[in-house]
Amino acid sequence: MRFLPLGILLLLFASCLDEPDCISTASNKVQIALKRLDFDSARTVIFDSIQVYSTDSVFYKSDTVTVLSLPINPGITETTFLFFYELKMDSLVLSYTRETKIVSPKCGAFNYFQELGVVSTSFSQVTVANTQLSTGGSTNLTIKL
Amino acid sequence: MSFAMAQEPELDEEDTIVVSVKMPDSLRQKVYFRSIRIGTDVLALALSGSNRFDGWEVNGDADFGRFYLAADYGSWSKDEILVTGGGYHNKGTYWRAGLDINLLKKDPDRNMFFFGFRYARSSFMETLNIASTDPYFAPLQYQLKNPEGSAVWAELVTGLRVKIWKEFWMGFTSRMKFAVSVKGDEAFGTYDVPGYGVLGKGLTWGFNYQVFWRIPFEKKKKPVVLPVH
Repeated sequence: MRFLPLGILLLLFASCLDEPDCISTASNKVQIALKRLDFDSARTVIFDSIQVYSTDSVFYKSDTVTVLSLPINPGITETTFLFFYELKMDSLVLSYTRETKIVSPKCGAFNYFQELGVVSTSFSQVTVANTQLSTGGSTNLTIKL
Repeated sequence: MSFAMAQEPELDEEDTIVVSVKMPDSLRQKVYFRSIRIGTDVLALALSGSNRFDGWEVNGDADFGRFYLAADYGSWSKDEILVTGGGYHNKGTYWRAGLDINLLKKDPDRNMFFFGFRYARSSFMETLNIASTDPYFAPLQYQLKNPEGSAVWAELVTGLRVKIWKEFWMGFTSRMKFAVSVKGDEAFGTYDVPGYGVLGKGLTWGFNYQVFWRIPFEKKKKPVVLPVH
């Protein structure tokens, strides 16, 4: 009992890591899995291009893929994608919220995108698997086509 | 006939009475109000005026014998430049209140080595300016504000108070801050709470180097003057 004050004093003087690690899971990329409409298996699609509406950004030009990683616009809370493939065009409007957090001045601030939702789409079936965007690579959306 | 010899009683060790004389406990007295000490944090003043920090803190305690009621009030503003672009600014006030226990029982000057507990609250505003580029979209420039943030937390404290000269005292206080709860951080996650420090590290540590002036309220006993015959 008589060493309790000394122990508390040492605890109070104990140093700790002040500088956090500059590791962030923040990402503005939506991970999309493409699946067959009739089976729950991967669907390979040859895209002519995927465009972000009202920008000149073009992704997956003449590309054959089963999964997509598309960036959402961090400056606004909705992004519209136009998918050109197999002589068709489909659209997908995504909504999300942005939460900004400062890790430290040396690491900077990061935007975390959450509450991902589908506002509208011309695809037959789109389901949200994970509403939070992260660098972990987990699937956020599944498009069946 | 029998003779009774008068003999001194022999005391063996078992009959020995050991009397230990303890030093008087200067603080084991009635709990009543004796004095107040008013001071300031010299470290806060020394750090003020830099590009990153501006602040001050007033400290006070009331002497009730072994127990001291303690209270602090302060102001703090911080500016940080973010490596990812933009900057952070906050400004606010805070107060703490609690109790200290003096562990030095036999000090004639009533110097203190104390432990204590504080309850603390802070009211603040904070602004985050973001300026960054994106490979696919237009450069980002926006401002986020938490205009009415508030926080509460608790502290375990320890430190020293030493009488330097007459009523002038110096000392330090180390603080272990914990159990912080923040409200009003709707626009972005609060980064730094005035009085508490940077959030998200579990425990936060603080240190004050203080100077005090003591104002006694206890009447000094006048020495008894005996008439000389």
